[in-house]
Amino acid sequence: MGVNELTELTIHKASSLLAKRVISSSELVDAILDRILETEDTVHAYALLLADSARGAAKKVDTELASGCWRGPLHGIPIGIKDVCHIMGVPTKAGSRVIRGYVPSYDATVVRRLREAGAVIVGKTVTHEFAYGLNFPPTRNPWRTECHPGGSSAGSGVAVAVRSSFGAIGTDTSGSIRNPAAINGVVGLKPTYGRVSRYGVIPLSPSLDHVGPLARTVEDCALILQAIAGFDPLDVGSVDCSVPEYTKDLGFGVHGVRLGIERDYFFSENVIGDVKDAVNTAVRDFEQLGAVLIEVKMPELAFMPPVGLTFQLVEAAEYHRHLLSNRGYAYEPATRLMLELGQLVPATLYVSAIRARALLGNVMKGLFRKHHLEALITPTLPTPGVPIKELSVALFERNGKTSLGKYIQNTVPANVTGQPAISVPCGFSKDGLPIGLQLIGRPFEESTLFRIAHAYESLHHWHARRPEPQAKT
Amino acid sequence: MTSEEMTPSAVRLLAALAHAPILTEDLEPLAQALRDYLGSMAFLEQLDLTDSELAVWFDPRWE
Repeated sequence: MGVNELTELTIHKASSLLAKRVISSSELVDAILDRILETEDTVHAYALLLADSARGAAKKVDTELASGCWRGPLHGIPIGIKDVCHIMGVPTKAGSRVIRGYVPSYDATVVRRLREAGAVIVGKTVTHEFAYGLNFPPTRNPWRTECHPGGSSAGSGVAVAVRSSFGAIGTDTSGSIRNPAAINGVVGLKPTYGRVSRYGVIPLSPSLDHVGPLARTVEDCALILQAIAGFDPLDVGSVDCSVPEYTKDLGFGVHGVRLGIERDYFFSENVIGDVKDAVNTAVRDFEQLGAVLIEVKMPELAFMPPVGLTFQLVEAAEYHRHLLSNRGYAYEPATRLMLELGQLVPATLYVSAIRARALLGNVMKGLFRKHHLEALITPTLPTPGVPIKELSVALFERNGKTSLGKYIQNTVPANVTGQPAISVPCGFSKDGLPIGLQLIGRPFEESTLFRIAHAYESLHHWHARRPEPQAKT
Repeated sequence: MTSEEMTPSAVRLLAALAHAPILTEDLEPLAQALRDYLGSMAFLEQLDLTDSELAVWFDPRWE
């Protein structure tokens, strides 16, 4: 098989070929490294390549496979890791000059679990500074290089889209997995709060932080989640809850599944026509597949962004307090400004946000129970990728430029409530940029989200389209 | 102090009282950001939190 054929494989298919020893992990890793060579000058998805260690790990995998040892679907599969997750002996830069030179002496739990599952770590993917999403990293949108690549897991989304990784790990505090998934035309899952350990991952806002997978297909996301999910006593937010087999019900379809549509908030005036059209078409597709669509109301959704913002401002500022004192000049100005702002937020507002979060969670639970919903269906983002020159890193709209803050409106509710949420490609804008739809589910019912998303994905195969990034001349 | 009164000099004073390290060059944009933030948070006052108690989880056990 050639490089293109190998990198075009899904994790599921590659795994099957590896298990039968039709291909080797070394061939997969070499193909990925070749693809990185082809694309990286244009898209800059990787902060650091681990080519030698990846080749070494792949050789070890091939020896294991030759001896009849197969650890599971990720055995021998090349994976990228967002550069806020620690890998023992490998620098964590978190997209910042502030912690330059820091080399962790341990693996993050998510990395350790991927290694145990036999995955091969090929590199660290680019993140916005400390995953805050407020600066413009070098990563470029492979569908149109002048457009924003999404974030903060920008490198993870782009690497998966251009096939320079089979899957990747991202983090999501207000949408940072689902946002680059939607913008780059791939699948991204923010699991339930507590489902995947954050131990060894640089925190942004521990009340809202999640770790999760990005991949080309829903099934591949499920396979990665299977490897990384589960209780970890080293993460205070981890929940001791059994982990089901995520691919078991994947093909069960959506007949009779009840999906809620809330239009006042999720389809607000911020959402452009192309996105509304694509998601509304998907809604009709779901009806054709036998799902029951129910129009619902939840006016309290409007409180989600200020609640999420308050958690994020205060908790990030607290974590960075000493670094800000000693190395404030080394931060990107927009990141520093938000960290400084977080120090000035009244403590009473933070307490109000905690109380509001509990209330909003109860309202959401009531909504799901009243209508017997399996999920809410929403646009992931209000627009597809936007030209970087039209974006502002300011918290609110300024000088006619779109604030990056606008992009969290539809994603942040699931961070506030802790519900699982997945973004799946649902079409393209008139000018050829990917659009994502989001499904928000019940806590710890990622399996249901995978089943619903897989049923939709099987209809259209949007995920099979591949960007061919061209350097801007 | 209202959000409109959040001037750069007010921010400087606030930061000093809070022992918050803030670069001088950031005072102007920070005043603007704080005005924006406090303005947006006024909206949260409309949410009735009467029946939502502060959920503090604390386990005093030693193991």
